[in-house]
Amino acid sequence: MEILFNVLFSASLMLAIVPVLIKGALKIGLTDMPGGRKLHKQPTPLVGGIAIGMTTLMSLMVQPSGFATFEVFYTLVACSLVLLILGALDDYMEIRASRKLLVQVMCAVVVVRSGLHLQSLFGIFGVENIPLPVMQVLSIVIITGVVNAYNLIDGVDGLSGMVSLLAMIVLGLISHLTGADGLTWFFTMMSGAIVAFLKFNLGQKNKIFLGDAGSLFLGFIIVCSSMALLNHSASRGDDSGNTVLVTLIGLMAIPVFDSLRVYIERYREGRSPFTAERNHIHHLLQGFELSPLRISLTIVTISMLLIATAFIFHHWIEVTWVILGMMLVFRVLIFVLNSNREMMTWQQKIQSFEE
Amino acid sequence: MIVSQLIVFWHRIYIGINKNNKVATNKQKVAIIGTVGLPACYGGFETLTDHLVKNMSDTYDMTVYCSGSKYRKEERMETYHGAKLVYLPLQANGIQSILYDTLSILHALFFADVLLILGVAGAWILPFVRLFTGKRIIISIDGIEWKRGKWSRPAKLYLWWAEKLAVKYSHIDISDNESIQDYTAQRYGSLSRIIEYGADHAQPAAMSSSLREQYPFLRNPYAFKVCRIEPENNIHVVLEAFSQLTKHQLVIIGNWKNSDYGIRLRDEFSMFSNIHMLDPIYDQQKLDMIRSNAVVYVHGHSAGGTNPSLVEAMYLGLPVIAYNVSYNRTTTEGKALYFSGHTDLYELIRTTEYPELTRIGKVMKEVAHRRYTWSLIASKYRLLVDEALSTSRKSDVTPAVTKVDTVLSDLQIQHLKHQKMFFEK
Repeated sequence: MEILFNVLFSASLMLAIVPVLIKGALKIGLTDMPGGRKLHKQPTPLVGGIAIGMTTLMSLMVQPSGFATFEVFYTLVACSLVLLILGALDDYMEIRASRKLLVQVMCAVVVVRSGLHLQSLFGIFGVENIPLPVMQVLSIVIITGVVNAYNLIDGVDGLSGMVSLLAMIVLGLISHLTGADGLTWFFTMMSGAIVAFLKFNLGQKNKIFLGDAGSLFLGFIIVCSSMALLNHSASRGDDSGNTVLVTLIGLMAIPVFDSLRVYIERYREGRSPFTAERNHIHHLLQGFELSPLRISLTIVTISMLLIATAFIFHHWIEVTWVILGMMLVFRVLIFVLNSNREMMTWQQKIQSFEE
Repeated sequence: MIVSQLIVFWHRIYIGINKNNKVATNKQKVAIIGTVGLPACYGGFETLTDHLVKNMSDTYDMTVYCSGSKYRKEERMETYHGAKLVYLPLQANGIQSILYDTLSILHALFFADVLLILGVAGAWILPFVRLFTGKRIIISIDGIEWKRGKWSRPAKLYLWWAEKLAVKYSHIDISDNESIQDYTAQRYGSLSRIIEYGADHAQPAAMSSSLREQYPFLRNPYAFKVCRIEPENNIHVVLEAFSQLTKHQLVIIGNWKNSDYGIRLRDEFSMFSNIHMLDPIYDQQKLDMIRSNAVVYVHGHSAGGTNPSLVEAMYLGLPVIAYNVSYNRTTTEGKALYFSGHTDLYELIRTTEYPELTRIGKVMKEVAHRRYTWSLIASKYRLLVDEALSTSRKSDVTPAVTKVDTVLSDLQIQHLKHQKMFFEK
């Protein structure tokens, strides 16, 4: 009942805020113009992330007392709001990628310095503990990398929203099952806000996009919350640390593996890693002539399957092998998608031979 | 059941191999893989195999793999025109073709010197064959199979990938048409060999009175078409044109009931009295009678390279009106009549006079007698087998001279590095 209330509360806030923000965005030109690689045909307000951020802030004003047990969360939310503002500025006036990256790194440093960082490597590749400074640096790299991964996956209608919604639901379940009920409220509230966002994002009337503001904001919350919950479950002394670890890796596998793959490909081909192209997983799925909604649902379904598979298998095999298995599955998936794209390209070329 | 049959199959073959190994011959051993089997009663690859066996058994020890699903036990033979027949309890087509071809290849590795593989279904195993054995692989990739509309997306992806492996890991790959040679050159950098099909097994036959009684419309001049009823064969285009040509008869033979497309066309066009849509005729003599007495042959195929039914029609001296696609123009040397839609076909049928049709028929016959005889086709295959046995390197489409940088530079003939390739049209 309380969960339903949380969801409805944040969703209602969104439904009230968004139309106002749309009007403002159209006036000042905070819109995504069609053209180039883009699929949409009309200027679309980039207010989804701002709306979610405002809903989060307003909801925090009425937050229950349990939230205070995780003091670092206030730092986390504050840094997320910094990234929200950064993203909104980038949506409005285009900020250089290197400067954006610098701010992301600084936010990651602030959070890590406040105590939110990986406490253990859980035996991945045989490594449990490493010196604290190395752990902190690794945590900063992971936070920055995952935030960018969530930023890059915002490529078709509904995708970033659905992936984030899945993340909030999974994080909510983890927090409930590991006794961090103070956070359960937070994730259910976020879920409600994202559901309301999806209503606008997937609809034809009053359509909005998440914008860089939203993807940076949500990505930061997701990765930092994941770290906090991972440390919390590891501190319980049972096997829940490993379970939560593989679940979270399954959750973030698609955005992270996809962005890593793209960066590696660009590096190999001598291009800047920040080059904008159409070879992310959602672009490759377009080769199957799927609608944006179906692409989003496909990717979310794959994520759910990865989570479920990792959850089941980690009871029998070590975490390292579970991760390698997920990477292998992802590699095969990309191979199939690339083959399909190449095949479609040749299908068109052959038409010119045949004429 | 299939598993137990496979176990029995391997046991018999093991015994058979040991028996054979006791009899030494000096002939090189060639295994033909990927067809339904012999005697030929299915399609182009089977007819090809039939003629290869008849023409090459004196030179090579030949083995042909056959599908046990298509030949009942009482029909099966141990040898056929000097070639040994090996039966597998699997279908040669469809999803089972992957296992069918794979097992055939694995089995052939025990004794064959050359594997002549028709089709790419089992190509996934070829990298291992190249890596671990010294067997020579000649593969015919058929038409551009992965492009065909009849396949589902997963099947297309598999065929796309398998074709790549087939061309990359074979010693020689064969196309049946120049356009497909251009395609393999551009996509793979491979110099594919063009070997078409023979047609001299098709013989003219006088129309019998009993056949005229069975099909009274054969008493009048008619256009003829025989094909699988698939959208790529543009049957709807041909039917649309003839539905407006009420004075011109069309006889079209195919498997109408096997698809929604065929059922729909039959429903839509059977009301036209000049259009006669017949079910498949398996009596070769009847088929030859109907075909060879047609006034014109209409060929609507838009995919698949050189089509056996087209070359057979040419060999019979039938004037050809073909769908305007590169494969058909290449097969007919650009000397037939061509249509792109039902309007073109309508005009061609309506306006082309008999003397012109007769002239085209003679030209088609000349082309077919020159290019599409089984003795010529078999001799090309023989040359390829000899070539495969004599070298382990595959021919590259790029001339070797383009790779000798320093020599070209020293002799000041760098222009030879930049040559126009045959597929750059």
